[in-house]
Amino acid sequence: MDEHDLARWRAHYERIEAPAPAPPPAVDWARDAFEGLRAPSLERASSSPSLAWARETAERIAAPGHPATPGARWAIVTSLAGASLAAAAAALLIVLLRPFGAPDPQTTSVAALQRATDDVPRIEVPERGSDPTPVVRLRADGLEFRSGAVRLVVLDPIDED
Amino acid sequence: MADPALDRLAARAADGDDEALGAWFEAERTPVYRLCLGFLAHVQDAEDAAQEALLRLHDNLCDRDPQRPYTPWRNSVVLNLCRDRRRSDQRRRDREADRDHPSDGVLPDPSDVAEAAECAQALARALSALPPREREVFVLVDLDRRDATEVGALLEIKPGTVRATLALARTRLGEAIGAVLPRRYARGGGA
Repeated sequence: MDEHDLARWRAHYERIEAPAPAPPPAVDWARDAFEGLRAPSLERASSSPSLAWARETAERIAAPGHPATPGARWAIVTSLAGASLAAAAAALLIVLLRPFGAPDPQTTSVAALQRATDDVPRIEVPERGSDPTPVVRLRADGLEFRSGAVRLVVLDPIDED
Repeated sequence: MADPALDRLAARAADGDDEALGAWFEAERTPVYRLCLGFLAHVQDAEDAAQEALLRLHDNLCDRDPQRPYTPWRNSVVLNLCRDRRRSDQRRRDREADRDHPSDGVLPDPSDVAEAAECAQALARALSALPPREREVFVLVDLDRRDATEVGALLEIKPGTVRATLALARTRLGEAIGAVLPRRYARGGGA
């Protein structure tokens, strides 16, 4: 490889740009989440299709027999849309999970989540309307919700064993 | 390669300056993504890793020693995250096993590539011909223009080892690409 080749490699590298941080559907999803937090009741929040998806996802995960049923310390890991949306979305999940049997999202544990990682590596949620295909998947360090560029992850599962 | 402006921006962001935080995020999105793409040689994985890396950097900005340059610290965070992802992802390891074929190392002429996304795909395919260590060295030294001493400190190897690894990487890439598209890589020649 000579200087000519190297220049070619660098030309490629320096033309690369990061993907756009938040495609419109993900922004809408996060905006819904934010609006949901400001809603006086969960019923109003649930009127949004995106929130309905989030609620159904939460319900599915909190259902008896699901490996993540014991609950977890829910937190936002990342949202390329920015910190305020991240905080809103994290709080949203806490709100959503309370009615579905996670006794206290701040303190309960999810040991089964780690044990289940090998058995259930990924749960795909069907596409809904114009939303990008939302995905829920188990990771080694938690549980991830994703819709477009917005991503929510369960952090720091506490092992009860 | 020192970047005092980025050092100052990171310091202001760490101090809670929201405007600086936004500027830091915009300034770092693409460099972080490029590194992730180079280290992982996979576009989708790089997008995921870049998101996670930005969050990890953001979370740790306040804990960083402000007396030390920002960029080597950032590179270290990104490198470690990408290594963790490689180790933890069996599917990735399976793909790595398939990347020993030199025919993967195709890099078209940049002028033939219309979009940045195509550049990313082409670069990822070509870099996948390298083992992870050689890829790390090649990306940091040849593409990101870091010097061998800085890269040696980051990878915890001697500068001489960096240079030797770089030579191996260049040879391997040259052979892989030359075997596939010899005319493109003749000096001054096009396809």
